[in-house]
Amino acid sequence: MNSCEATVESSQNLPNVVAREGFARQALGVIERVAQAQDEPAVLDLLYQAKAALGADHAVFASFVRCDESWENVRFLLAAPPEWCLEYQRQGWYGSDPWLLYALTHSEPVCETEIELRTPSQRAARALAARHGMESALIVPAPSSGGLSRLGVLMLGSSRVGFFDSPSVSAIKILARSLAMDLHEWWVRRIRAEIIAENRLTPDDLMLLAYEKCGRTSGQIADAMGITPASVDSRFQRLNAKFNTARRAGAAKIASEYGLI
Amino acid sequence: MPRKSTSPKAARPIQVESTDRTLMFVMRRTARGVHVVRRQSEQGHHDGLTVFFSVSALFSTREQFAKFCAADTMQSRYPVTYQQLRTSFHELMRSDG
Repeated sequence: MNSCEATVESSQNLPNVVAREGFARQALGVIERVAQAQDEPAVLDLLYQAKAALGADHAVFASFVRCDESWENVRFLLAAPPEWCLEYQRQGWYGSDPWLLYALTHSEPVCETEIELRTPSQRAARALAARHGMESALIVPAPSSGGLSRLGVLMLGSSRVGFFDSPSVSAIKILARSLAMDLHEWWVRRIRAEIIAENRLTPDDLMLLAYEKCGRTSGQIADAMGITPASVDSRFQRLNAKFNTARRAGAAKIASEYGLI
Repeated sequence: MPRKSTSPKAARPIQVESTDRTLMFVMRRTARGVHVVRRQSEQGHHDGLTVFFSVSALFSTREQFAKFCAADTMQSRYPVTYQQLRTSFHELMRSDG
């Protein structure tokens, strides 16, 4: 399936999309392949196929991690006009995006019309999405457990006003939630692999960080790993440098947020 | 000058990076077109917060990519990087997916 086919399919209204023969089977066939995607182009290709199967014109998957007050990591996977994302970044709207703020505190998929726009910047962020073809949108959070800041959110968009404001959206929500969670888990695995490779982290490094997260002292970690406390401290110094943190608790927090431990 | 770390052969990624390393592109030919990842780090909008911002998108035509480049305000700050980017994109588009 290609993007032209997607346009043809999304020209229908939502009840027609859901009533199409094999609708759910087709969507699930795409979703179940996400976990096996080998790389970013492959998972993006599946996102294109999924948006077509779900009757959307556009699909965006965003991943956010904010470990402390000094930095955050924002990643967008776009089956949508990329110019929208550039403007979004230039304006710095990820700090006040109403859809992301919704996803931070909710797990239920929702039509964007149900999300209240409270500030001028939130209204501007919404207007920008509409200008780039997201007149109607379904917001699908993919939260993380354990109090982590790491968050995924899938946004399905249509150029047709009110497209997702239909009782038929309940079927889309079920499938979109599954897609969002699978995309989120895929991203986490990818980011984890990237960080381990880029920083040349060893299994012992990850064990040290896991012990730190549990609140173990250098002496306790040394006993558990069969090395000296001085060696523990020395290894943490190297880890702090790799994670660009001043304290080992910060390195353990980052490792936790990125799913390394 | 921007750094181009890999040769532009089909199916192999091409990396283009600004000299200050705040902006980086990784491009790869796929069956659909050219997959582009744009990564930027910036001191930001929120009290000195450093933001690492990554966009992953697929371009199936030269026109789509030209529109994307034209919309990128970083183009005026890194004109040489963008020239290299466009050259690499066109090389990939000419190659087999």
